[in-house]
Amino acid sequence: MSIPNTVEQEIIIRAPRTQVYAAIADPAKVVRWFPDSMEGDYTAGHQATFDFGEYGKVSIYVEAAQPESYFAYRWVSGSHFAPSGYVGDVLTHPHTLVEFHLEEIAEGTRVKLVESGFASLPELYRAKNHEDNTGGWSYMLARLKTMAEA
Amino acid sequence: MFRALADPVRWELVQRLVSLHQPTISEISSEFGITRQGVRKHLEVLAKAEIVSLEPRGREVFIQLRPDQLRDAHLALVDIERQWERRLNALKLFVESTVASEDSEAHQSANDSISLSSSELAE
Repeated sequence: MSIPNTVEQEIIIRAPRTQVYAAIADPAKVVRWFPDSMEGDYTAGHQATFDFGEYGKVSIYVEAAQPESYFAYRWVSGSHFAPSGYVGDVLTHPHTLVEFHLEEIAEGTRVKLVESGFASLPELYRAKNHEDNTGGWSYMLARLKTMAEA
Repeated sequence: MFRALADPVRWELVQRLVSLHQPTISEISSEFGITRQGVRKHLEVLAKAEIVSLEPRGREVFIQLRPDQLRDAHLALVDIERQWERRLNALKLFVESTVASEDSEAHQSANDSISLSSSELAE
């Protein structure tokens, strides 16, 4: 076990890396699987805002965009730290760094997600945990259903 | 809370406390090879974050780990991990279904299909 400062997840997607990168870095495509919509400038060194509908809006600062291997942004992370979202200057507020690493493999593309910086955050909004977990589930299931039926 | 754990010595200390029953500051001090004052400083940070409680008894201070806080922090990270798992699955579903539908439409409308952003392809 290491210092609890980082969360990591990996997934293998059966598609060329070009398409996976576009799905993450292209503002028209990322809204097909993540936020409902977004506004602002979704390019490196600029800020955009993800809109999660009833779950609020979250500002992000695009840290880096390196086609087709790396995309990263800073944000005031989700339900635990900003239960009703956060819109404003990300860099002057305690935040985490979200990184997508894309690697070409025989089956397609391996995506490694790393979210780090929890150590720099203030207290967790612990009381909200359970509620938000359920909210998160039904939200994501609803999204999956919509996409599956599209 | 995470901030309190982000120091390597404190993190090691907490991991060690899991398997010790109410050790004293002196015991930890000799085990870690740090002065009692040094141990006390780290413990005070952990106590402030409610990760341990310190109980002076006579000339000794006993250390008690408070598992609730750690469990909450762990659960929060697990929850965040699950959120990303769901998001990455949504990404996978989106990309793979797009690829599949582009493949099947490719021969009928090669020019009309929405291409991936050409600036990215040009890299």
